[in-house]
Amino acid sequence: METALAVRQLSVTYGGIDAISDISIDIKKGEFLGITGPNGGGKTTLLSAVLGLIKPISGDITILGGDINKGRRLIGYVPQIAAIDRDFPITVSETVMTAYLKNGLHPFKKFGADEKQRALETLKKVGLENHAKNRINELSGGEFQRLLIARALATEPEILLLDEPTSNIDKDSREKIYRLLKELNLTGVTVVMVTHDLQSISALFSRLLCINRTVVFDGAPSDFLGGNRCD
Amino acid sequence: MIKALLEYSFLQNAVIAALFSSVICGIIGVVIVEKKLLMMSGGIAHTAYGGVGLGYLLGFEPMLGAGIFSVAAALIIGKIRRKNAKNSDVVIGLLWSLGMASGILFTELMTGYPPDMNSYLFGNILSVTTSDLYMIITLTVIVLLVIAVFFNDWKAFLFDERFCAIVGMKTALLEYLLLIITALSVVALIRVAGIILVIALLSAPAACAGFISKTLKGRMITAAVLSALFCLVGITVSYYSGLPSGAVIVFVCSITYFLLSAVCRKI
Repeated sequence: METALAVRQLSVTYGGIDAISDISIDIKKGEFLGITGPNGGGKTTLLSAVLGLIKPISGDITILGGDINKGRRLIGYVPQIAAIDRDFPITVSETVMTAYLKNGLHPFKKFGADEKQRALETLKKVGLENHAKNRINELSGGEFQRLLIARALATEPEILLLDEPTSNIDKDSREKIYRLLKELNLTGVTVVMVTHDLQSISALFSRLLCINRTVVFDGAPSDFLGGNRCD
Repeated sequence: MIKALLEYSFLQNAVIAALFSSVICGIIGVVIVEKKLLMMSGGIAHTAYGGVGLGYLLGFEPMLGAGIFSVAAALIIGKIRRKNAKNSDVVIGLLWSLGMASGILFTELMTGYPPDMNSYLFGNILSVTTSDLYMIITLTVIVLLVIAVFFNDWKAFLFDERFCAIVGMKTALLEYLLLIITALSVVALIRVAGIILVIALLSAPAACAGFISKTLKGRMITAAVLSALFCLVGITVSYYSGLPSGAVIVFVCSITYFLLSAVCRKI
């Protein structure tokens, strides 16, 4: 099976302190990979390095066989909702359309009818089409999380990276997001998800990694839940 | 007041300066408030004082010095923020103090009588000259164009900079552009509110607009209108009472914000 994402001997330091050290991972196309580990263990750092937002001190990242600069355009990223200012004056539909502002700057850019229609269709995929004109602060936590997934989908990604997409949201919303991610995975999208919610989602993962500065577990979720510890 | 306005050119200059600088306050104020860059703007503003002092010492236009120092401070802060965000607070604090210190030192090194620096520190909109007016109008047009031409890019950038970087937008260019137009805005507002008081004029109208308007464009327009009102009230009070205009404008801004904030929280 083709490799979607290959990380080789990756190390990142902050102020001389190792955030992650010597991490090597191969993620196959179509996998649904879970990443867990203690807080401060380097999960978000790993995602940031893969997205090219931080520079590693050593190591290589290959995305769908290409280098990181070209490859990261094939990744849809869903940040933690806590990282976004939900009081920012923007509508649900406009949030999705920010994904169309790819590559460079866009002088005098106006979103056309076709882009508005595409945004609406993307919102339909996550069940938010009736909220298109709402302000983002009118959404519940679960709805907002689905909006961030819609924005990532609007970039037409082959790989979806999600950073704790179900933290601080209710059980029903969590279930909706899991179903949505499973459906996306079945359409061929490779899903990589950082989570602490192992009990309820382990049935979805085809593979689980535990990261505590380096990879301390890589295998089936059932083996991890069966007694392996992540420290 | 209308009769005096028709009669005195200094009042006409003050009103025109108020209207144009209000456009800057509306646009850049909202950007700064949404991006949470108020302290950084304070650092840039205070660094300008060094440029004013150097202008007096070397005999060139003090506002040009303010512009050079502000833009240099903005570029230094931008570089540090991109390299190591943790250190940017320290650098902003140091530039803040260093700017003030160099302004004091440069004016002390002058031979003869030291210039009156109060109008730079606290502003005096009633003393705006025709050349100040040209500078304010030019800077307003530059700021307006930079924001209007890339409006959707700015909106996406202010909302989620990381996402913009991932999809390949030129976020570094936007960040430096934002810092430079912030520096230019600060320079344009020095004659109106002064280096020390400029932050209130940048933040209060934008924050008030946040209570009133729900769109980014709406907030910018509302903030510009509020800023114009605050300045005109300030000019009127200052003209009749003889109180310093910069301080009066800032007082009006701040009181309005606190009142509006209290009323909106009750609602």
